[in-house]
Amino acid sequence: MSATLPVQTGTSAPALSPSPMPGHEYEQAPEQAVNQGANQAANRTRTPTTEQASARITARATEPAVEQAPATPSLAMLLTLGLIAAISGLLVATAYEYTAPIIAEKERLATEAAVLRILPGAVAKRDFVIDAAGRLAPVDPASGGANGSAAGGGGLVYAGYDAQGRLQGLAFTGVGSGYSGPVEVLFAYDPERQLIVRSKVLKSTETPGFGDKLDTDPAFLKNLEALDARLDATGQALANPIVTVKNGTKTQPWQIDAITGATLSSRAMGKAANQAAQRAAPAIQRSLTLLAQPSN
Amino acid sequence: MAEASQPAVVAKAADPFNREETLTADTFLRGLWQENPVFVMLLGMCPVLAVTNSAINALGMGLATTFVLIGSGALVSLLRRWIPKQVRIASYIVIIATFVTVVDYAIHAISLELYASLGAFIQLIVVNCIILGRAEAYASKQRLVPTLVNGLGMGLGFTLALFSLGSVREILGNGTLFGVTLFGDSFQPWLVMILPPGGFFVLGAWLLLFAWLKQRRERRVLASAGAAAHG
Repeated sequence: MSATLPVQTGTSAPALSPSPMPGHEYEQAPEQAVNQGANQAANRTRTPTTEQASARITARATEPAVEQAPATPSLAMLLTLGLIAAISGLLVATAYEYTAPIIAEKERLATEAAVLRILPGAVAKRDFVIDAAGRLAPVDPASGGANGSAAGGGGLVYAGYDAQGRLQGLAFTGVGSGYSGPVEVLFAYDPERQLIVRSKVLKSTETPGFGDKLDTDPAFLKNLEALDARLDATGQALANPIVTVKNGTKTQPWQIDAITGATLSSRAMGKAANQAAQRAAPAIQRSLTLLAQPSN
Repeated sequence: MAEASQPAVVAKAADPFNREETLTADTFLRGLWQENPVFVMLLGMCPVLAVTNSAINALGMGLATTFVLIGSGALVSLLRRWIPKQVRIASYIVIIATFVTVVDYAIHAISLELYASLGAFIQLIVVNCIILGRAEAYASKQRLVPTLVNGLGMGLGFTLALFSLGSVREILGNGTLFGVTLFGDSFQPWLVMILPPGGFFVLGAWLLLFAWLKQRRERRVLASAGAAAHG
């Protein structure tokens, strides 16, 4: 179909003079497009091989005077794309090399600031992972970054110590799905009383003005000042799973009173607290002696 | 392939098709006003509506886009003689994606909060039609310096538009500007303004204002032309 086009628009065919360089060929295009829009569009979408083939067909089918726009050699295209890919790879690699340490340091500082803020009295923190045996294992500060990322975000347990090296409390993260996405919360845990004593939303996409009350509403935050996270007799799980209940119906210390108008977000908080405590509290209780050792 | 061996002199002679423009103040100002990507061309509506719920988000997004516009424009302009037309879109996309990745790392390194609040919209600059449009319509035909200036103008025009949405939405929807509280406790924030519908409301109000200004100017021009004809 496209091969016959130059024949039909034969009167304007001389405009398609051969041009030696691809760049110039393209620059000529709009002028030709004035009287040969359709023909030009067909040329543009054609691949080099079909273009060469159609050029042969055209030459055979009509007089040799009809000239075809030259095809760009495939090699030139490959070289150009290769060159562009190389430049782009170089730029991306340079940017990554330069920013990766800054990003890692900023993230470490942000986590540390969040942990120390949620554990008042603490001036230093140590990171722990939960190992296969369900106990805490210290993360070597030198390889901390690598281990932390290997543990998969919410995996770490942070222990806060005061200046004398006494344990001030523990912090761990939990995730619950809310109204418009996951809500990631950092919880402070008191190992002696087995209570969740504070919370801070780290990441949330909840509706502004409703869902963000999770972090600001004083009545709601009261729920999380002494949230029961006792272990059952076996020490494997919580004695009472933490649940969110309808506003005004909280009767037990392991229940969270939902915010009116933000029930789903409140439930996300409950799910996050439950998930985090079920995961971390048994391991913490098993490793109290390790935690009690002053940091060095 | 035989055509490639023809002398380059022919190419020189064919240069009346050269549409390179000379650098003027207009090269820069066009993007800010007459061809403002948001208020005049209505391009890139996705980030315009999605990330303008606060002034700092709007500014961050606008500057990131400006950087990508300038960087990709520069590279496209430098390589314009060597990019075959058959693979030009692929080439432009790779170049644009490169600069978007760089700006993504940069924002992550500069501010974690900004990075978190802009979310996926930084990566989505790749598909912002303003940038591909500039590469195809301007950078691929112009010399380096006009491309840089034009990219800067377009980028700042985009930033200005985002900022005019973001600041209004933050002031009305949160009672703050750049996080600084502007009103007393008696101010009840219009929550809808920082929710998605607020983006449409504020954009609509700005477009209304610009349309009104344009119409008034046209009427004045008409009136003065009429007066001159009668006088």
